[in-house]
Amino acid sequence: MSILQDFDYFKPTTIEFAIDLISNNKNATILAGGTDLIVNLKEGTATPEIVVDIKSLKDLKKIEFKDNCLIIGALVTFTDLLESVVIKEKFPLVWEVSKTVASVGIRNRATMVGNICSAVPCLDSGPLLCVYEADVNVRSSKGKRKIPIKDWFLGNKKTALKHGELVTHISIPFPNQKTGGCYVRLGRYCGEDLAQVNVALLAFANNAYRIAFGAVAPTPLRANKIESFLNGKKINDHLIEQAKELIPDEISPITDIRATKEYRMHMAKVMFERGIKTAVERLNGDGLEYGESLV
Amino acid sequence: MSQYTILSFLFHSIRVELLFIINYIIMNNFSTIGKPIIRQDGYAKVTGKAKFADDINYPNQLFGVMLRLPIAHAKIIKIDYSEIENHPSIKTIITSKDIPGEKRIGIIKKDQPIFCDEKIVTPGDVVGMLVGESERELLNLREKVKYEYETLPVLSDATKALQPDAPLIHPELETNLIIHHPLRKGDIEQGFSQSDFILEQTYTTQTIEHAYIEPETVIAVPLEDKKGVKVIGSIQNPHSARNVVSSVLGLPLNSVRIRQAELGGSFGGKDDTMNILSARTALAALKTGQPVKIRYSREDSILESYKRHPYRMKYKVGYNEDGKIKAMKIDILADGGAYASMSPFVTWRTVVQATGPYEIENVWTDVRAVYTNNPYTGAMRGFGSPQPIFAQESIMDEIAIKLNKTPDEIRRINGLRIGSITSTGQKLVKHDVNLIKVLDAATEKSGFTEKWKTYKQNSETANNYQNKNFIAKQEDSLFLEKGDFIPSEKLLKKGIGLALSFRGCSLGAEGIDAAAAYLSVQADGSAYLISGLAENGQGLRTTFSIIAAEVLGISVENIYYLEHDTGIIADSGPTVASRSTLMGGGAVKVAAEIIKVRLEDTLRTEWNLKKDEKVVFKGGEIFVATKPKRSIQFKKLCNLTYNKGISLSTIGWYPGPKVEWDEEIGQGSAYFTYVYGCQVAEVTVNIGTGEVYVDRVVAVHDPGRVINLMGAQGQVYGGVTQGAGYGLWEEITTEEGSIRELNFDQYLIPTSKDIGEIIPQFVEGDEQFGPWGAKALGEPTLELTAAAIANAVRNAVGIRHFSLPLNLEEIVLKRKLSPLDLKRGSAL
Repeated sequence: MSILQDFDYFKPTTIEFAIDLISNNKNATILAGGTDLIVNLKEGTATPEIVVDIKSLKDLKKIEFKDNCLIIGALVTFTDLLESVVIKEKFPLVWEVSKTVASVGIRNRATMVGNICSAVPCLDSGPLLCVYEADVNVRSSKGKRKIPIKDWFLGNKKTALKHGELVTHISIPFPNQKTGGCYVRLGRYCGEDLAQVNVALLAFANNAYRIAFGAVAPTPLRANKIESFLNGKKINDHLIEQAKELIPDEISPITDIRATKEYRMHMAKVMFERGIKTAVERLNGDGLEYGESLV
Repeated sequence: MSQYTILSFLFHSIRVELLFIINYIIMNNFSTIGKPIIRQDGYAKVTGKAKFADDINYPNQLFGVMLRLPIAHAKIIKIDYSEIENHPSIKTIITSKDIPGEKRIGIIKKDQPIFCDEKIVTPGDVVGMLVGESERELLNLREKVKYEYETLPVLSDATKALQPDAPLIHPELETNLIIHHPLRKGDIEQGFSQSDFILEQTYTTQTIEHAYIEPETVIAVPLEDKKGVKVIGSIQNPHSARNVVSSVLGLPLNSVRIRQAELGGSFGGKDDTMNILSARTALAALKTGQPVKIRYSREDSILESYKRHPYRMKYKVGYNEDGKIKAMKIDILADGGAYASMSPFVTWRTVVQATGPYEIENVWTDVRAVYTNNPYTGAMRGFGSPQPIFAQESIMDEIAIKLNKTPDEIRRINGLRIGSITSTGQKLVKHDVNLIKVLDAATEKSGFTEKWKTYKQNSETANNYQNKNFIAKQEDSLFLEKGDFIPSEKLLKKGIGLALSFRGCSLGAEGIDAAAAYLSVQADGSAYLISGLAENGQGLRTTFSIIAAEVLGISVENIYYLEHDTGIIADSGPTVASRSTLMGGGAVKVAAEIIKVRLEDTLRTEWNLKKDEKVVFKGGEIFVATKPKRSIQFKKLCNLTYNKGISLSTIGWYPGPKVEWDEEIGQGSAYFTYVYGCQVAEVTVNIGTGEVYVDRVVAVHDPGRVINLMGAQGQVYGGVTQGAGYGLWEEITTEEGSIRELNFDQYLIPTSKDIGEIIPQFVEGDEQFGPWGAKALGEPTLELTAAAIANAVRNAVGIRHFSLPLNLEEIVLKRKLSPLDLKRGSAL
C-alpha cells in the first residue's frame, strides 16, 4: 500500500527551525520513528500539510541521568532504552516495559515520546509514566513548559500538546527510596499485538503503592482508590482479594475487535494480582527477574 | 509332514527371506530418494532474487483499480462516472459490458460475475475497474465514483439460509442451498437401538483466511496480433486460469497463455480469485492494447478472496459398554458465502470422511452448503477435513472419558484396518492401512497414555481459578509471608491430546485425475523438466527433479526445472488435494523411465549385451550389474544416443485409477488410496489468562514414500503451525457480511515464538500408486493439529470446548468475541 496523499517534507537541523515550521503551519505533524505516522498516512487517517522529520536533531537522542532525574529524549527508541545501562540498573521497570513493546523491528524505530504523543488507550508507556509521575517537557516559540503526566492524556489519541509545541523529552524523577516495580501486559499471541489490558505497579519500601492501568479507559489511569486502600499496609492475599473488588470502580473497559469488556475486566484483576505480588517480591529482592514473562 | 513338504516349506521360507532381503536392499539403495535435498528455488528466495509477479513490469504498463460498494447486498441502480470519465489519468473503465464471452464463472455453478452488473451479494464484489498509468491517481479518483443502489436484506447467519423467509442470494436459483450430500449406510435407527449409550454434541468452527505472504498480483500482455493474451501472475493453477480467461474473452484455449511467476504462498487460495483477476486484466489489456497489472493490497486481498468454510456439526453417536461404536448420525451445515465456488467438492470430501477413520456399521450423514452474503468460501488446505476432524476427534475423546478408557484405547477398538468397510461402503484393500501403526508410533514417541492419565487426574483435583487463592499457613493470620503466595506455576496446567485421521488421496470421485510431465535430456546429459502441476511453494520442482534424477542415476543439479507455462505443458488438472507428488511425480517417473529405456537400448546395442544382463544407472554412470568395472558416463551415453538420431525428449502421462460413486446414497470407492496420520499435542494452559502454549507436537504420517526428507519435514513444520493457528488464533469475523479483520494486526497467524517443538516421523511402505509408492503428505499435516490441541486442552483443564478457535476468551469465558450472537457448539 502506498501513501496516496501529497504533503511537504522538511528535515530541519535545528530545534528552532523545527518549532518555526510547526508554529507557522496549522496542519503540521512530527515524524520521529514513524511507526504510527506512516501507517496513518497510508490509511488516510493522518492528512498533514507538512511533515517535519526531527531525526536530524541529535540533541533529542539522549538518555541522561542527572540531579536524580532521568531524561528520555524525543528520539530515544525502545531499543535505545533496552541497551542503556542506567535504565537497566536504576529504572528496571522502564526496561521491562520497553522489552514488551511490539517486536524488535518496531522497537528499533519507535520512540517512547512518539508513543505518548500517539496516545492510544493501550499504549505501553502510559501506565509506566503514570506510576513514576513523570513530566512531559515541551518547547515552543514562547519557551519551555513541563506537563505532569496526569495532565498529559486528555482522551483517545488526545494530549495536552498545543499548536506549535514540540515534545523534547520525558523526565522521570528517581524514587528517593527502594522500590519494586512490575509491568504486566497481555497480547493475544507472541507476535506483535496491542495490549488487551496492561498494568504498571510500583511498590515502595514504606508500603506505599502506585498502580496504573491501560487499555481499560480512553486514557491510562491511576487506580487511586486501590492505592489509598493499600497504602501503609503490607500486602497479603486477603488484601489483594479486597483490592480486586475495587477494580470495577476504577476502570471502564470496552468491547472492541481485540477483546470483550468482560474479558478485560477479568484480566485486569488477574494481572493486578500477578503484578502486585511480583512488585512486592522484587522490592524484597526476590521474585522474577525484570523482563520475565508474567502472563 | 512329508520330506517334500518340509523341503518345500524350508525353500519357501528361505525364498521369502531372500525376497525380503532383496527388497530391503532395493528399498534402501536409493541414490537421492529419501535424502534431505535443499530446494532448488531456496537460494533465490532467501536472498530476495526470486521474481514474484509484482517484480515483473512492462513498458507502457497500466494499472487496474477495483470499484466496490460499501455494503454486502444491494441492487445496483446506477454507477455515475461523470466526475472522472474524462480525467486524463483514466485510460478506460472496464465493466461487465466489455465482456465478449462468459460474464459469469464457476466450476459447478456459474454464479460468480467477473464484474457485477445487476446486484452485489457480498462486500468483496467488484462492479468495475479503473485503468490508467498511475495507480496512485486511480486510487484517488476511485473516491469520486458515485453509486446509486437499493439495499437488500443481508443474510449473514447460515443457519437461517434455508428458512422460507430468508433473502435469496441468487434469486434465479430459487434456493440458498448450494449442495446436499447424503450418505446412508446400514440401518441408523437399529444402530441406535442396539447401543448401550448415546452421546449428542454440536461443534462449530470459524471462517479463516489463507494468509499467503504475497497478495494477489497479475499482469496481462496483449499478443502482437491482438488476437490473444499472455498472463503472468501469482497463479496457483495456470491451466484453470487459462480456461476461465478464454471463456470470458470468448477466445480458443490456445489464444490464452498463462505463465506462473514465483508464488508467494497459496494454500489453495490462489485459484478462483486469481482466475477472475486474470480475466479482468486480460479484458483491459485487449481493450487498451497495453499491458495491464493488478496488484492487491492486503486489505483488498482479505476482502475479496475466498475463505475456509465455517461448519456447524451435529454428531449423534451410539456406542456400547465395550467401546464399540454402533451408529453415527451426522448433520453438517457449511456456510458457502456468496458463491458456490468449490463448496460442492469441499463438502464432498467432508461427507466421505466425516465419521473419521472408524469402522461403523450404521451411518447417516447429511452435509449441506448454503449461500449467504458472507465472503465466499472455497478451497483451502484441508478442503473440508479440518472441521469434521475437530468434531469427530473431540467426541471420540468424550466417549473414551465416559467409558473410563484412554483416547488411544477407544481408537484401537474402532479404527480402520485392512479389509475394513468405510462409511461409503468401500473395502480398504490394495494399500497399507496404517492407521493403528501411526497411532502406535505417535503414542509411543510421546509417552501418551501415562501422561494423559496423570494430567487428567491433575485437572480433576485442581481447584478452579476463582477459589484457588487461600493457602495461609495459619488460618487466623491473614498476613502471609513472602513465598506463601501461590506460585504462578500452579496456574499452568499441562495437557496432552491426540487426533487421528484417514484421508483420501488426490481428487477421488471429484474429477478427472491424470497428469503429464515433459522431460528433455540434452546431448550433454543435462535435462529440462516440467510437469503440468505447478509449484505452489511446497517444493514440487525439487521433488520432481529428485524423481527424474533417481531414475536416470544422475544428480539433481543436472536437472533444470522450467517455468510453468500453459503453452508448453499439458493440462494436468489443478495443483490441489496433495496430489502433486502422487500424480505429477508419477508422470515424471514415467517420462524418465521412457528416456532410460532409450538410453539403455543404445548401450545394449553398443556393448552387445545379452537380454538377461541387468543395466544399472547410478552416480552419473551406467554399467552392467554384474560387471560394474566397465562403465560409461551418463553424458557420454546421452551424446551417443543423440548422435544416433534418437529422441531424448518425451511426455510422461500418469492416469489415476478409476473410482466409483453413487451420489444418491453416498456410497462407492471414493478414493483409490488413503493416507493415515496421528498427531499428539502437548500444551500448557494458563487458567488465569486463557493462554494456550503448544509445547510439543509429535506428527506421525504415512506418505507411502518420502522423496525429499527435507521437503517432507518442512511440510510437517508448516502444516502443524498452520493447524495450530486454526486451533488457537485465526478467525475472520463479519458484521453484516463485512470482514472485520482486514490485515494482520487483527488477523493473527502464529509466529515462530508461538509454537514449541515439532517432531515429524514417517511410516513408509511399498505402495502400488505414485512414484515408488509415494502418496500424499501436505494436507494431512495440518488437518489434525487443531483437534489434537483441543483434546489436550480438555485433558489439561477438564472442560470441553466446542468451538474453534480456542483463544483467550474462549478458554476463560467460554464465549466467542463476536458482535453477532452466533450459535456456538455445545454439549447438546
